[in-house]
Amino acid sequence: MRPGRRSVGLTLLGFGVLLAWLVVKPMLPTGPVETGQVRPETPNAGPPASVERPDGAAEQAERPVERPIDSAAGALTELPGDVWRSPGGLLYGPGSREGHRLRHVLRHARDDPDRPGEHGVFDGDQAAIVALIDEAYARSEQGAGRVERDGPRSVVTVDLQRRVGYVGGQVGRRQGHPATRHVRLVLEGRNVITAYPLRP
Amino acid sequence: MLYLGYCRHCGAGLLGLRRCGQGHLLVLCDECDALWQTSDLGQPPQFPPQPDLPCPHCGQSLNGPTAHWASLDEVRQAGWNDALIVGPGGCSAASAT
Repeated sequence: MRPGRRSVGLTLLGFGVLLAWLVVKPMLPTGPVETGQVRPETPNAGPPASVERPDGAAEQAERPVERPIDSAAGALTELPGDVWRSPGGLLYGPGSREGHRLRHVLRHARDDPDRPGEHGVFDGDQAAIVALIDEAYARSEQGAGRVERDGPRSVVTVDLQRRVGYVGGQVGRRQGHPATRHVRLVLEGRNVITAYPLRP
Repeated sequence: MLYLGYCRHCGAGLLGLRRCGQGHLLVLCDECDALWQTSDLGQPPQFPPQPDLPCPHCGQSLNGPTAHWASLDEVRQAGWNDALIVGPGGCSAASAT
């Protein structure tokens, strides 16, 4: 091949490779993308993440590796510091052994049949649970239910006058999982520490 | 998780024995984070600042990577009365060993 033709050929080859790369690149797998959303918690979706070990060193297994929030479920609004605000104005932020208060509350989206005592289990998914907690909070703000204050804490118990979940855990299992219509909130101001259904 | 009973503050949590990274043993509600520094649960609970829950003795986070629920050996080493402790399944951890 003459040098001039070789140069044109190489140039065309280069364009071809570049064009192929631009076409293929969007199809290639990428690394982790920080979207702030993961799939919502699914009730009764398998065993808990933490595993009890006799030496008590189960911490790594307890800690979540992904962000806990599905902002679409429950119409949560993200605020700085990985804090999420519910439509009713309650705040869910980092904390607990689960790493985030919403994930902590969502322990009550499923039964824990081996847990000693009672374990309140909400009906519904994350969106329904956030809405129930908001409803209980709104009713308590209107004077319904009982509020016990202890230092920075408020423990709010509200009867929502309809089934909101059931009693799980060892006691619930023994009693045939009776229904609950009360919700208890443990709050620091508007910050949710925990919330769950219960039979008072 | 070894526990001493149920939390009277929230009514639902188990009072687990939490060991901070420096080895201090505390009673911590696994539901609401109410805290007692001793097994005398007649005392009012403390509510350490969220989200780190600093150990009242050394300031290390009770949610930190080296904090954990204490084992029975760790409870005994700390000199706590393990006859009070309940283990998984509701049995006495002391008698179960």
